[in-house]
Amino acid sequence: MLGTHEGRPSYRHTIRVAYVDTDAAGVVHHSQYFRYLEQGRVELMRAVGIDYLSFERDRGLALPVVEAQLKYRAPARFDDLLQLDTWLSLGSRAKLVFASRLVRSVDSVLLHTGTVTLACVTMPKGAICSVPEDLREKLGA
Amino acid sequence: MTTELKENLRRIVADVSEIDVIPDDTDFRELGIDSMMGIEIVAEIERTYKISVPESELKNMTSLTRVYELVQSNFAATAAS
Repeated sequence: MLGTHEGRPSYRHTIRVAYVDTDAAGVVHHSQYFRYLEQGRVELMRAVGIDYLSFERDRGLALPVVEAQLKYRAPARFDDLLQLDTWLSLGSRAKLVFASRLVRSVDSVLLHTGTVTLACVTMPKGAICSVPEDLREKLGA
Repeated sequence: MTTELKENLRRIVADVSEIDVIPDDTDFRELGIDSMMGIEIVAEIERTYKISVPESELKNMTSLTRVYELVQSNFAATAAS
């Protein structure tokens, strides 16, 4: 669901925690959250008109993660329904910084906050290049 | 003017990279300025001087002297057009 956060597009993505996402302690393993965040970014881009598959295929570009910061506040468990809000917190010619907030739907408990920074590279060489202006504009940079 | 321009560019590079000393001809990579930071520097130069640096020139901005030369040539091209 597309919304706004401080004037920029944001996207609320719903996630049902799968059994395979959990670890021996019965909670979502910390590594899984990065997968959720990626889903959130891809869906945000789709919602503003950028299909990431086409972005890579047609433009010969990719957006690799160059930095990530997460704060784990409470655990999620199997079958929990989660709401992940994702928005662009900073966008420049060099990078896109996506912020996120994950809550458990049933009681609105905040589970994590974080930011993930993406650069833009040419494929297949992997040379750094400018983030396309239209992408920045659509994300509200 | 040229000295002033070079010093202003040195300040921009220092501010963006958070590196105090930016020698004229030392390769940015040796100073710890990676390619992503290089784009941030270019973006700040574009904002400051209201110029546009083509994507093809990014790879050539490898030292303060190279940045200075490219900005000067950009000014000259703008003045001639």
